[in-house]
Amino acid sequence: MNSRRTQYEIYWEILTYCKTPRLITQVIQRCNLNTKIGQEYLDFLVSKEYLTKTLEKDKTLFTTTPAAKGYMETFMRLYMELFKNTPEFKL
Amino acid sequence: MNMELDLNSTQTKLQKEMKHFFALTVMSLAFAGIVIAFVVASLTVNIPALRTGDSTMLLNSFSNIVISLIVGYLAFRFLISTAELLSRFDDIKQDDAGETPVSSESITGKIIQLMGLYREERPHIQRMILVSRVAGVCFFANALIQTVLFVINYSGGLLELASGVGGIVVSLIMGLVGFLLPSSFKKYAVCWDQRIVRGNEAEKTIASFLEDSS
Repeated sequence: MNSRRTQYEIYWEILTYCKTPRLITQVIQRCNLNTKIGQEYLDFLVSKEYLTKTLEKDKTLFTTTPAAKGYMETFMRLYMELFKNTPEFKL
Repeated sequence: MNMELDLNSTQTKLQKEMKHFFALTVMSLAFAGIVIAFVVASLTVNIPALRTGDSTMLLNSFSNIVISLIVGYLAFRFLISTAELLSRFDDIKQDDAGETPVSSESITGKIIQLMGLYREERPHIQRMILVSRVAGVCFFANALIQTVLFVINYSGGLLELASGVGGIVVSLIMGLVGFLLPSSFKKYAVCWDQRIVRGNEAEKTIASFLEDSS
């Protein structure tokens, strides 16, 4: 998906995707980021303790932590409300 | 229970909107295709007619060619923009094909994709609105010119009457469609503009949440 997204939307996508442990390449591919930007986002989320890094067979895996739950739920609530409380498009 | 109801109503609203938007883009593609077919037909008839010595006929053919070329260019631009938009939209539509039960995550993901699509395609959509209206104006102008020329040149006869009125009616219908399609795109744009504005407000809440959690 190439659409323009905000950084908060990308954080949410990464956190949702990393509910099961993922490699950086998988995150970059799935969230359609370039390596540099992808690394920056992952570093930020790790610094917030929303993601943890684990080493498995010489590969670093990123996993969403329970600390991210608040962010993810707040984000989902706001976005659902956003859609719910605006007029519906009809032909 | 309430959360589940909310989820279902949002999902229904989302699906309905996506269906409407898909229909709108398909109709736009069809409209652009029909317009291009009309342009080709008009050029095929009017270019050979330029060889006539009758000045009224020459003026008629020349004005038809000019209008056809303008409308043809606009229709082609419109077709390209619509095809691009449809292709992007189709990618999003296919992503969730057949997912049951619906999760709040999948709905949120879809909302993000649709917002992203709108942010990116907004200039295209605005251009489509403008181009379609201009094409509509051209069709109305064509109908007016055809009417004036028909009144001047009508010499009696059912066949001439039928072909003259037929051409005017077709131009009027195409002009009307040229105005109806952008009004639907406008509704879509207004709706999503509001969502984007509210999304920006939501972003501030999310940003402060992130700051507070550090």
